[in-house]
Amino acid sequence: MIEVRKLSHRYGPVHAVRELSFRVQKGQVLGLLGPNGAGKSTTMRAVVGLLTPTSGQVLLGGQELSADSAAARALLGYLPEQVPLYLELTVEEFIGFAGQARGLSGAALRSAVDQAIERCGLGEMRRRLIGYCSRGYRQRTGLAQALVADPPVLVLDEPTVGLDPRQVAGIRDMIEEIAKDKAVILSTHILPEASRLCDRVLILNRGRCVADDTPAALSRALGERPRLKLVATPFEQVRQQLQALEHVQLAQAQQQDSSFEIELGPGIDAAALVSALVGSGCAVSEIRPERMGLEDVFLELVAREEQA
Amino acid sequence: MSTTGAVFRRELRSASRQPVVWFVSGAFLTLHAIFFTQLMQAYSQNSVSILSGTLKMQDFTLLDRVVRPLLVADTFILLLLLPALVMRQLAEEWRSGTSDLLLTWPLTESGIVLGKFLASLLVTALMILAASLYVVWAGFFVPIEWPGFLLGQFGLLLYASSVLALSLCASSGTDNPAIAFALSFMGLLAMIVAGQWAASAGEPWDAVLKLLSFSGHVGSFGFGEFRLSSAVWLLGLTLLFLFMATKIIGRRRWTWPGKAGR
Repeated sequence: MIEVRKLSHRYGPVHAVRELSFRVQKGQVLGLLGPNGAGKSTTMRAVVGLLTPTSGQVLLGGQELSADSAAARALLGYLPEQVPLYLELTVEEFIGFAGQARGLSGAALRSAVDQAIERCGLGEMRRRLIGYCSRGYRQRTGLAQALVADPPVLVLDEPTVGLDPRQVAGIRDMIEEIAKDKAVILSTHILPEASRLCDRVLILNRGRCVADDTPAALSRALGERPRLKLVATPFEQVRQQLQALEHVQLAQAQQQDSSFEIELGPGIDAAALVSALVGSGCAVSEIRPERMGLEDVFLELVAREEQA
Repeated sequence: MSTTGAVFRRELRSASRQPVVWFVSGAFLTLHAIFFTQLMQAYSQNSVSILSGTLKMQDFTLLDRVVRPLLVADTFILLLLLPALVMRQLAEEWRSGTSDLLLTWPLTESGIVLGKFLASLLVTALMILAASLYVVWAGFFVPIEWPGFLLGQFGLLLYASSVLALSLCASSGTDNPAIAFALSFMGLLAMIVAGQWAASAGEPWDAVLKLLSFSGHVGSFGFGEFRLSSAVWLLGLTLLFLFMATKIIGRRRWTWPGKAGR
């Protein structure tokens, strides 16, 4: 449904995006992750037709996106990062305008507006001027305009930024619901959000794709060195022991709860580690494998890329 | 065309809730009323001259003494006010980021420009219509040549359309409404003043400046004369600026960093 082929873009001498290619099928949510300046916004703007890439192609539903590609843009619903709205219109009028701009009229328009309002939980606000709505309702209004014509492609740029936790949960539930029959690209800085909503994540750094897989597969791929969480006392003695042991790398130590995060090399396993600690007089109260979250994967990949 | 209609309806809806639109309309009607009252007072006082025989009745028509001077005053009032009416139309879209939405919807650039232009033209036409009621009211008491009056109003509307198109063009190139206002005001002023410069300029510049001047073209309508060349000139100017606005949007859409990118 969305196909990006060898997308590259330069701002003068700076490469914002380099040779980026990916596909998003119907029913799939692709998360676009990366630190600031990674090329996410450039990629998003190229995908929605707001930027001509230096090279490469963007296809929506098989049609190339270009200045005169109204047909390709008709497939698209876009929620920009800072939702721009006409504050002097009511919620209903604005969503109606978005529907009319997409060619809806008459009964079809009214029905589409009603559905979008209901889907986004804007029933009570429909006749309120957008200028008087809270940030959460404005975000929902932005989402409703993207959904009003039921487009098969959705591009959502930081949809939960600046919302309170309850609003965030509401927007995430909504995205989960609407993503079932659409191809969605979601740009976010919030990694738990990407873990929850995305079937696939594409991690960008300095304009390059450094990873493209499911969050689980990325965690597995980077978890080749088993990482353990260990709780043992006394803190100082355990730390000295861990530093002294061969094939054990101490990643983190917290004195508060006397916990440690360690990585084991090939020459030692968990049982041998516990024996060594107990043998030296330490008391081990907990040991368990630590799964690598998307946040760890992200940081690890970006760090590797920076080192390279 | 339906998408032009969508933009047109949205613009009208927004216009009805924007203080600047009410201010411009109110200011136009007030200034028009002031000029009309003064001209009518002068007209009434001078009627004594007719009774004393120093002026002939045919030199003293409402068209000559009130409608035509009023038309000249209106061109200056609109020169000041119409850029204020239009300055936000595209500049505000760029500034607030709503241009990102418009340009990702299946709207054409020409549809956006045309929808906005037609909405502002309708608001202006209603203003001119409301203002013309003063003269219509006077026509109940004093004989008036209606064809000449209507032709003058038609010329004023053609002039207003070219002013709106130029202002819309200025608004398309910036995200600051104040800059859009200043650009269009300076452009319009130059076109008005070109007529004055033409008188003192030697050949061939006098002809060129006359051609560029608004006053030469609008004036003919005021004198009850329908000049096809003037109508074509004003319409051509309107189309030229609308075309330029479309091209500017087309160019900016691919280079504008967006609200978040600034």
